[in-house]
Amino acid sequence: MDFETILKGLELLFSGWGMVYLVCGLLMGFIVGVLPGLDSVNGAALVLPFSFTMQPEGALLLIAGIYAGNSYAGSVPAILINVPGSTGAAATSFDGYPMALRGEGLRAINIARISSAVGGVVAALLVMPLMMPLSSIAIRFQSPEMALVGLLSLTVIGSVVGGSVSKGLASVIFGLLLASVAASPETGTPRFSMGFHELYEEFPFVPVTIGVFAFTQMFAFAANLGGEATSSSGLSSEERKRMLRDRTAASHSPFDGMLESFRYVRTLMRSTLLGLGIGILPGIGTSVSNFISYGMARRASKDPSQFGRGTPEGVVASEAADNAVAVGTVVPTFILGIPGSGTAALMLAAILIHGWQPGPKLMLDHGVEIYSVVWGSLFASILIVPIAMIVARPLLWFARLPREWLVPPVLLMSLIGAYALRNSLFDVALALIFGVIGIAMRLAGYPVVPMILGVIIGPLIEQNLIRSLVLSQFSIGIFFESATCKVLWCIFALVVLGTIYRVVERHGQATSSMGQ
Amino acid sequence: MTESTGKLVVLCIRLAVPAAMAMFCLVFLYQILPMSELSSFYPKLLIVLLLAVFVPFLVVSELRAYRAGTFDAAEVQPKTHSVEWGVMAVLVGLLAAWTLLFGRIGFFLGSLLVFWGMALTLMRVSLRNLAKLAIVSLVFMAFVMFLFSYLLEIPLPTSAWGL
Repeated sequence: MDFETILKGLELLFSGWGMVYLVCGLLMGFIVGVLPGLDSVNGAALVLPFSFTMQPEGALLLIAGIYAGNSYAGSVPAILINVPGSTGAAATSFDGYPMALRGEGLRAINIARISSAVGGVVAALLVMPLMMPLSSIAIRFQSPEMALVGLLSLTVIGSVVGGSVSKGLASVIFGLLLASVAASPETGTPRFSMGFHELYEEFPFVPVTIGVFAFTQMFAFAANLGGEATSSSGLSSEERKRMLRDRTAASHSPFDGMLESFRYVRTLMRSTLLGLGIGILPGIGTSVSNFISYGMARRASKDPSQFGRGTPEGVVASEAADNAVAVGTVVPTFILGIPGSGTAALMLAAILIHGWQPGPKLMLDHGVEIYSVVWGSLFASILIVPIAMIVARPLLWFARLPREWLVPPVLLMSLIGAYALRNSLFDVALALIFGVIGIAMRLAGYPVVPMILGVIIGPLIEQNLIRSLVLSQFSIGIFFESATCKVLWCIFALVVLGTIYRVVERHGQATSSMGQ
Repeated sequence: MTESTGKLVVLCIRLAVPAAMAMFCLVFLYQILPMSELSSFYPKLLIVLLLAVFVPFLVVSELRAYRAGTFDAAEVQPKTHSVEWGVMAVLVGLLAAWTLLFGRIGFFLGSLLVFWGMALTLMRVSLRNLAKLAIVSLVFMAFVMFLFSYLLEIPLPTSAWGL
């Protein structure tokens, strides 16, 4: 383990603007977290175009702060109004909301806050010593192995994210195809550029990201697609104030429940380890971790009947896993160049903007900067505790913000963001087009995250695939030669079999429910 | 809208995405056909996968679900029924107008007009709301100008009047 690099990472975090970016990210993460319908990925998409004015580690710290802040803050509306502010907080509402109905809202929020902080800190401490050894294994990967890792990750992502496997995989392949709208990496020939010089070099992934994550979300929010607008504005301002007062009435101190998470230390540690493990697997991310963690805590509990009725253990399980996932996703992102989640994909996009090459060599070339980001995740988790207490009241104000005051600023910032990266109106138009495509995909039930991951890691897969084929004179035998390739094929076979099993099982359930 | 019409609308929406993917694939394929094997191998591989496997599978499974009555219209219908399509169209139109006019009338004026347009589309118009809108939009524009011009040092287009 390279202690010197780890310590230099800590030094880098505290030098210059590192902590300022981290705290700004944390505050922004709090805001996107409490706004139902917005997630860390939307917040990161908003700041991505401006990140080119910062140092790469500054951009990464900003996004890491957003990720950590959002992971905690999503629990606030989940607890108080039963509307999860982020996907990772969905299971928090199962017990957080019943607690709020008993007037214990503040207690539940404090439990969520401490569980989030512990989950993030423990996960970061575990990740740090793992990164260098994993990186030294990954550095031995040649082009065939890298191409296979990319394909394997995208297969996992496509089959896990969203409700339908075929739609997820179609979304991934569409993303890969979009990424190939650029000069061929081997010959330099422009492909499908339609005369636009903006498409000659590489497919501009930043405007696509802004379009899909910021525009689509705001269009959906403004037009009440899926009922997001009504969930936050169905009540008058006075009614909401009274409701929030009632739901925190049983707490007589702002510190109520602060140490209660430690009563469930086994759940806290189990959920953290589970979240970390899920975070390390590419693409699965927070959307499933909190449910799995909640389910495991329920099974392990002495009194499972209390789950769903407002037990603090349910809140602990969901929140600790959620923040641990956020830290875990940095491992595949920086070691293999395969993002662990949508927000991690934007971290990868941020380093691409600065010309860093993602992949196993990244840790060797920029280990100090990467460790500063892991340290940043650790400190962000610690800072959640005091900062979230200070900004609790303004955050509730954001949670009550009606759509007419939220949509115009976010859309305008997104427009300017799309323009600012290359001072190009082409990018703005592209973002707008992908905003509309995102809406169509959402209506038809296609997940957009696999498409974006396909767009971002598409060039890496193509380069390695073509390089391998050129080396082997177009013989696919090269993908079966090394022991690593064979192991990867075995994992690939297991993933495919698991997916087929899941589809058959779901089909069986649907048929039996129709029969009934 | 009757239930059968609603299901048909949902079916059309669901078929539109694979249809659009197929169209994109065909146009892309036409473009890359004359290219060398090395340049076109990878996109061709993806196009074949989409056109030969996924698009037919998606279309057939949607049609089969629609015919068998297992079509999950209940999930999509409430979304499509309560959606304010007009609002979405106005927003897209305003953003497209911003893209076209941005270079001519300058960032400040263009953004201010679009901000007002979007807010007025979404809010209930009253004298109090209009006053609030004027203040919020001006504060927001001042913040954006400060952020870009001074902090990030990114030049934004100005109009003939210097704004």
